[in-house]
Amino acid sequence: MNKTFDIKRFGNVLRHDAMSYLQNFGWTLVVLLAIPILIWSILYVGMDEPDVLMNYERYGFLLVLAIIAMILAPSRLYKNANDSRKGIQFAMLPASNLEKFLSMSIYCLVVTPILYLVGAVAIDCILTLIPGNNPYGGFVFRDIFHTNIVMVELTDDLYLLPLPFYQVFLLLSYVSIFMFTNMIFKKRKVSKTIGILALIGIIFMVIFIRVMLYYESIYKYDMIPDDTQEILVKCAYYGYYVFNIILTIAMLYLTYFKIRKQKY
Amino acid sequence: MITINNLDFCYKNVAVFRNISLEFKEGCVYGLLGENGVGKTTLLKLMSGLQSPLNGTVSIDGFIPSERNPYFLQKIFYLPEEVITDDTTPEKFINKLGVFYPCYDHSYFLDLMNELEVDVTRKFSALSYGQKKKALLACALSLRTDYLLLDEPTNGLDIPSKAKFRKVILQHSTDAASHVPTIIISTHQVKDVENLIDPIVILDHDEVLLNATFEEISKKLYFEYGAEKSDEALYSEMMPGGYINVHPNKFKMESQVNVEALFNAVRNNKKRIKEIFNN
Repeated sequence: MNKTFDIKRFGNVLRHDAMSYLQNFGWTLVVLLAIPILIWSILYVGMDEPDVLMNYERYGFLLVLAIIAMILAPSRLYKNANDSRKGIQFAMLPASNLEKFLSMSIYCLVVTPILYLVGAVAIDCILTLIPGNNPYGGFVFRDIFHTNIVMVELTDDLYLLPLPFYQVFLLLSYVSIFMFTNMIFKKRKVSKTIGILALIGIIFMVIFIRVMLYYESIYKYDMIPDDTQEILVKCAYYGYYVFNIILTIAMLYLTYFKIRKQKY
Repeated sequence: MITINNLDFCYKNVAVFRNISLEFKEGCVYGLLGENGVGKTTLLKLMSGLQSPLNGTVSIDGFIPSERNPYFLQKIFYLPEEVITDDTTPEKFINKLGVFYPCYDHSYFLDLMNELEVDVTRKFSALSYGQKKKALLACALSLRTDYLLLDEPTNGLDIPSKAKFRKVILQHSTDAASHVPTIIISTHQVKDVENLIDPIVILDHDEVLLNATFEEISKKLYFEYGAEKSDEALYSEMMPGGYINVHPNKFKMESQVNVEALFNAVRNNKKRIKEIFNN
């Protein structure tokens, strides 16, 4: 038996967390599943044009709700993990820090989106099968598997960038930030994280706009050849893609580090 | 065995321990006493790995608690003063937890719940504070860990429950069927645990004022129960029917230790008590 990782012990941690999962997160999932049903039912009743509920929009909507479920998951499932009084049970559980971290990651990053999407897609399939003048354009799950290619529109051309698991990394980076801040903040974990992310976003945007304005005062954008523009935009996409991967790894490592060093 | 060497600890800038050294031997029920804010709970947290020493070491059977090694965590259970549980039944709670502890005994858990008269199927949220405490005590004992740290375990218990608490702890600490655990009870309610704890540790910020068994205490101190207050006593206190006077036991007389009087005698005569016990 290894003190860092033991498969049987890890199985026990997964079982332990699974037993709390529905108790802590069940209602949140139910509410998030009820939202598309409610909205689509309202739209269905009052709809004249059938094309407003096409596949891609419905898939996007479900994805947004899945993201909401994922960013809520750490603070709902492990809200007490850094609490000096309520977190004692988590800290004293006879499992290694790595096992606790892996279980936390599995439930926040894998189980929650799968559970949500399975539920949402199942509901959507039922709606799709409604007979008669059905406004639903088909099964949304067809779109789930077409998410690895990014379309970049430059002037009149459309470029396809093959970025494997692009959306997955984008999603993981967001959720990993929420996992980390769940171990940092004691209260209002989600709203504080959103606030900080919004603030960082605004700061970056202001810097970006100022830099762009500065360069535009010196150079004219039209002066840059199309090839160079394409390279620049592709670089920006690749850079963002790599940044997301690095951010995810960094946030997950910091979460693990915080679990290890957390005092109660 | 729990060994604490030259322990320093502080919360931000507030020093809690300065150079404390202490040992807890195996198989005893220790009473951990001290004034408010002296650091009893902090000491229990340091022993269970919930805090790290600033300087010095805490070692339990060769493990460093702050590393939270899973094998160490299997050997120890800390029951805090405040009752915090999931909204579940005691049975589900222990089923979730028991798989991690190699010596966990489910039938013992059911016996204890029966003994303490708590319904295993009722949710914690439906139990009173005292019932929750008893349910958690049953959980803690049934895990059969080598070390059991209890912080103010009798707070909130009614009078019959306190008697049952003493009974189950006594049975547990002398149970021949299992290895004998080390139990450390931090409390202010010394009357509740007077006949249970032995040895007694009295803690101060700078030092351990006392770490002695009842036998050692009664050899060194004489507890006189009389009608008059003694001016020469280390400590005197009025009680129903007279006074209790605590004296150095110069003539090797036998007496019954009164823990409250002992605590006050130690607190008021720190240097003198050290001299008496070091000789």
